[in-house]
Order: sequence, then C-alpha cells, then structure tokens
Amino acid sequence: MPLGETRCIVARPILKPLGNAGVLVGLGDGVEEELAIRAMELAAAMRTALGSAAQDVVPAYNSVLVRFDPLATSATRQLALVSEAVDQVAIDFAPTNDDRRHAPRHITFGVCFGGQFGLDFEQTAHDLGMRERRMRDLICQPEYRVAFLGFLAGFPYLFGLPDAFASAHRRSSPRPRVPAGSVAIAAGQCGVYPCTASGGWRLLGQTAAILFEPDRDPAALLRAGDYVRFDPRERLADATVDIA
Amino acid sequence: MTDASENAARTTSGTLRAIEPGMLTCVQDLGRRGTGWMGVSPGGAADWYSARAANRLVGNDDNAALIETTLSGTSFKISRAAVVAVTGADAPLAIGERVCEPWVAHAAPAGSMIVVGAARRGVRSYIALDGGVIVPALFGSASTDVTSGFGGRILQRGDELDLGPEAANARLLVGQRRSALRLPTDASLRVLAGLDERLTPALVANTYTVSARSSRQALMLDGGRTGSTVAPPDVVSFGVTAGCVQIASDGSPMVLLVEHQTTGGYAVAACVIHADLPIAAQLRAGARVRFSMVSMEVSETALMERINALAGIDDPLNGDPVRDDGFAERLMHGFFEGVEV
Repeated sequence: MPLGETRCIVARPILKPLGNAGVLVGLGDGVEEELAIRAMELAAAMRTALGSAAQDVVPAYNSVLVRFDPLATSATRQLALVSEAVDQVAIDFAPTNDDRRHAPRHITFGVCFGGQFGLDFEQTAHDLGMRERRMRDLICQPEYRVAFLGFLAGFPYLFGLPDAFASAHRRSSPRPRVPAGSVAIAAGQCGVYPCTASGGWRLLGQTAAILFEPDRDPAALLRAGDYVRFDPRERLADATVDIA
Repeated sequence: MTDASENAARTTSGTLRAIEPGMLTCVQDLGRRGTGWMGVSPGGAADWYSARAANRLVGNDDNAALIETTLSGTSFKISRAAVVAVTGADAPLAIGERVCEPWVAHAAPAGSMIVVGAARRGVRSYIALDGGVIVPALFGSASTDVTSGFGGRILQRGDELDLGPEAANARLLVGQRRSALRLPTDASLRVLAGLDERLTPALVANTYTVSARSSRQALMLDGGRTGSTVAPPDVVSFGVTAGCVQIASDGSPMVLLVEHQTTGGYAVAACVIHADLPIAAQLRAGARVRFSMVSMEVSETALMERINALAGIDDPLNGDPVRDDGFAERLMHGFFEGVEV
C-alpha cells in the first residue's frame, strides 16, 4: 500500500484489557506494511510517554501491547495510562523517539537454498508447480521489510513475500529441530530462525548470519522497519550478512 | 549486554555450591522488562507468589534472584551462614540434619547442606537465601530463559554461585512465616474475558487435562476437542501476556506462563487472573483443569488477598493465621529509624 494512505488504520486506536497485566491497542485489521510501521512508531512513542509505568511495549502487525505489573497498577489505571499515552502521542507525534532515530537499514543475507539447507525447498517448488531455479529467483527478488520481532528472540516477521507463495501453508506437523539461520515461509509470511527451535514453517534455505546474540549489543541483528534482501550462495560459509 | 561491571562492584559474601542440582533447577527473579520488541519474553519465576514470599521471608527485595526447581529436588552447600526459606511446591526440606518447615525463614549455619526433596504436590519449589544469588544480569535480569537458552543459570553439578551481602537483621527474620500457596490436585482457574468471546462458552464448559508437554512457556491442556462448536479463527499475531488462554487450531487451550512467546497468532479465549497464575504454574501433568469466568473486580480482590498474604496480613477468613515473630521488633526498629533524634 502506498505511503500516506490510511484506509485500514482506524482513526482512534481501540483499547482492550488483556487480563490483569496488559492493554492491547488495536490499530486496525489485516496485515499491511503501513499498519506495522505505524505500530512500531506508536510503540516507540508510547514507551517514552509511559516510561517506567509500563513493563513492556510490544508492537506487532496491527497492534501494540502494553504490559503492566498488576501488583502495582490496577486495570482501571492501566487503561487510563494507555489512553493518556495514546492521546499524547497523537498530539505530538514527532520523529524524536528511539526507534525513529534509527533510520531503517538495508540488510542482505547470503542464503543457501534447498538440499540440506532448505529441507522443504524441493517439495514447496513441487507444490507450487514452479521450477526450483525460478522459485529461488522469486524469493530473492523482493526487498522485504521487518514488520516486528516476535515468536523467538530476534525472529523477524517479514513483509514482501511474493503472492506466488501464498498457497504454501505450514507443515502439517512441526519439525522438532529447525536449524538456526533457516529462511522459512508459511501462509504468506516469511521469517528467519535466529536459533535452533521447533517450528512448522517450510524451510527454504539457510544463512550463516547470527540474528540474535545475547552478549552482543544490540543483541538482535534486525529492527522493525529494516529492509531485507536474500542473495543466493553455494556454500554456507559464504552465506553471511551485509549491512548497508 | 551483560552488566558485568555492576556485578563486580557488588559485594559477594559467600557461595552456593550445587551438589545434586536436579532435573531443571535454575536461577530466577521477577523477569525482564522492555525486551518484547526483540522477541525476548519476560520470563522470571513461574509462580510469582511463591518467589516473592520466599524472598520476603529472608529479607530480600521481591526481585532478588533465587532458585527455582522443577519436580525433582535439589541440594547445595552454602559457604556462609544464611537465612533460608523454601516455598512453592510441597517438598521436604532439610538444613543440615534438621528437617525444616517450608514457608518459614530458617537460620542455616556456614557449611550447611540444604536439601529440597522432590515435589509431593505442585511442580516448582523456590529457595531464597538472604542477599540473593548473583549471576550476570542479561537485559537487566538474572532470570534463566530456559526456552532460548540464555540468561541466569541452569544449575549443573559443582556450580558455584556467589551470594549477595548477608542480611543485617538475620536474627529478626528467622521464624517469619507466610501463608502457603494452596496446591490443588485439580484446579478451577478463574478467567477474565479474552479477545474472542465466541470461544469462551466452550472453554468454561469443558474439563481439560494438563499435558506433559507443558513447560515454563505454557500450560498445555488436552481435551478441548469435544464440545467446541466454534473453530478458532485465523488470527494476526499480536503481543500476549502470561495468563492468556490461547486456543490451538485443534481446539486445545494453552495457558501462557512467564516464558511465553512475545507475540502469538492464536485466538485468546480468556485470560487467567493474575492471582491464579501461581496455581497454573504449579499444576502437574494429568491434573484436571476447569475455567470459571469472573469480573475484573473479583480478579483484583483476589490479587489484593495475595498481596496481603505476602505482607503477612492475611484476611483471617482466607488462609492460615500468620505468626510473625519479628513483627513487633521490626515495627519498633522502623519507627525509631524514622525519628530525628
């Protein structure tokens, strides 16, 4: 969707309590890049507005979760704080907060596709009725954008997967061990596993880049808003990351 | 991101040496703040009530790092005298040769062996020592993220962990007592409305069984397949909290615990109230679980009861009478401390 168009962004965010410990700020329906970027920006501004009153502010596709300590803040107070913060942010929404200060970067991951590096590559090409070479080129064509990090520490949810992959659903049973660095797709979504974990997405390839390193600062390689490309490589040792 | 300098500056006063660490014995505090944006979950003690109670008994801040066991017991030796309290699961406790009560602060002499037996009821025991245990902080917390494999420490045989500075008022702490968490074999967990009301009737109508697949991430429940007339819809991932009851595509619920994924793509049928999360974290595989809807007011009253129990001022109608031997002395101490002479 072109920038500036606000078809799916609701005028006033919808606030819903999520149990005793959180308030979910709904920004609209659906999965649109512009909504996710708005969620990221709102989360950053709200983090500043709420300060230590909130325990966490977590953006996702079309929402922002504000987490509280229920021992310190009642549900009524939580709603009031979030409501106040949303209003305040709406008034003086300026690019002064932390996340906005970080201009989005352009990051290229070297990726080995198919075979041992992408156990579902051949099957997916078969399911989609595509030649393997064509599928690899297609996955490397777009510039993706990080919607948000979630699921696992440092796992990026990427926008931009070509529509041709829309019918490639999750595997019927998850794999107990998806290798770290796996580039995976499922139901129109695309992501990269930062660590070895169980997962049900289809594995197409693997990068040698380390997406999350607890002792590194910053620990997460990617941030919401970053642009991502995949570039095919033959050897995993060459499948490194390049940050522009 | 390791706050090593901060830790080095802290005085350590002795060590804890793991003898038989147990199946999954780890360091926890109350978890992480502000890490959700990078996909790092809050984590921390799975049963917040027991962890806070243990810390209070030994005179620590609620957020001090302590030891969390999982089903099996643990044993360790301490190099300095300590005030020790064990809470959470119902498990036998020995300090040296002495058999000791849980939910009470005990004096343990230097060189004591502290043995916590396997849980008879419940899952997780919390062992607090005055001064807390010291591990390098990661993202501002000492908690072990077992799922991601970072932060804190999963105790290994022979591990030596530093202990923080001894409590100055150890003598006053010993004998303090807090109300034990009631550990039902089968539980009725109280819930608030979730985000999808269509799923709530089936949730409260069914009885579920705790699955062995449960972990610090979530209490996995079986048995939701019958009686569920509404198929959980496809949901766009959003931020979630501990207590959210997600409904998997096969209809089985998952109650998120502290180490939950930061965002989830399942419908949230309800949210377990914060006062009942400690019970959820103590349910064993095979336990039967029901859900009952309550209002926000009821949930906050229940939470206030827990907060009062932590402070040692229980509602006499709810819970055991509190014996707090050091109370008068501490009161006087606090009073005179505040007076300008």
